[in-house]
Amino acid sequence: MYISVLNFNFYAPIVILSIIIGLIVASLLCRRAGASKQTVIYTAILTFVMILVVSAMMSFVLSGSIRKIGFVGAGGALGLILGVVISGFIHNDHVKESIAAWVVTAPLMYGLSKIACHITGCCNGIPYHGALCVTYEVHDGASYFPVQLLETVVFLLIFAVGLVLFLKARNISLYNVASTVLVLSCIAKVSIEFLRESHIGKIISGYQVIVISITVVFLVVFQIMRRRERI
Amino acid sequence: MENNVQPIIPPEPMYNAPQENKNLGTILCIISIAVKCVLPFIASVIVSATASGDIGGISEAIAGFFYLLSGAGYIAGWVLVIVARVKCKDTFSKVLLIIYLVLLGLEILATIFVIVACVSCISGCQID
Repeated sequence: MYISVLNFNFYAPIVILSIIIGLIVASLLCRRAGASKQTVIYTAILTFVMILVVSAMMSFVLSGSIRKIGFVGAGGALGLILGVVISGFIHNDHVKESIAAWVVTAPLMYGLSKIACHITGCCNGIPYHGALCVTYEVHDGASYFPVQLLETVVFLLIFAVGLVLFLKARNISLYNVASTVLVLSCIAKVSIEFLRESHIGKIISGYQVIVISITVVFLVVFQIMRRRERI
Repeated sequence: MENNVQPIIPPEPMYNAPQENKNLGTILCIISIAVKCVLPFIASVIVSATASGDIGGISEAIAGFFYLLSGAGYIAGWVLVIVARVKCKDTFSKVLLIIYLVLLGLEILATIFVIVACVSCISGCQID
């Protein structure tokens, strides 16, 4: 696959569009679960804002420079979960349904947004010359593993699994659905990082540590919230 | 003789938020404006002054700190206006939320236009 020009014009619109698609799907799932219109709308607004802002903040933390601010998947995930948890405390209406719906939708947003990375070539996989290898003109014609396309496929599959679990789950098990999707996404993300060129020569990257930390923290948060609902 | 005059039934008052709620809503909205708009403005003045060299000795780390502070303020501003809207239901929070949404839309459009403009400039340089 040969990508001739750096179509950076498409990057931000594709990422924003993927977030908006996820936002619509999550809102529909929340409504289906019985959340009020007010809860759904304000949760969507706050979560959308937090995805963008926390993502930009995390890109600064990771790069250490305000000149390299952009979208970071882990930051988006952190913003999404923080946004929906804060909304849960504000509205106190169908909290577990909202959390499960948004966490289930996160892989959809991430998977779709990776198409932007594939088109622009902002990041790339390890050097590779086999089937489906990607060649960017801007990278002097070198061939790479299609890591972004792999991420798109894997995260769309995780979304499909999560959606089925969400539609079948009842009451307290919704926290289990959110936890399952969170763990699957963490395993996928950490594993695929090993196929990136930026990971060559590292045992574990800072990005992988951040992804694992976010997962562990929110697994604990979900368990605490689950126990509070049981009491 | 009995008086048949019907008692005058006063019209039902329209729903208004209690005064305490209105006051709380107004306070939350003012704090929201302060942390969302005033804080990033002060931070951007400091950062731009740093970038142009007007303030000597301020490193990028400090500029980064103000950037993170602005981000946190931006999020806090949104949280406060939504809390005011949900808990107090006053008009101020409604108007402020609409203004924030319009500004958010404009900010996203501006970001996309800036990226497109930058890419056009870079592409132009590469062709020349």
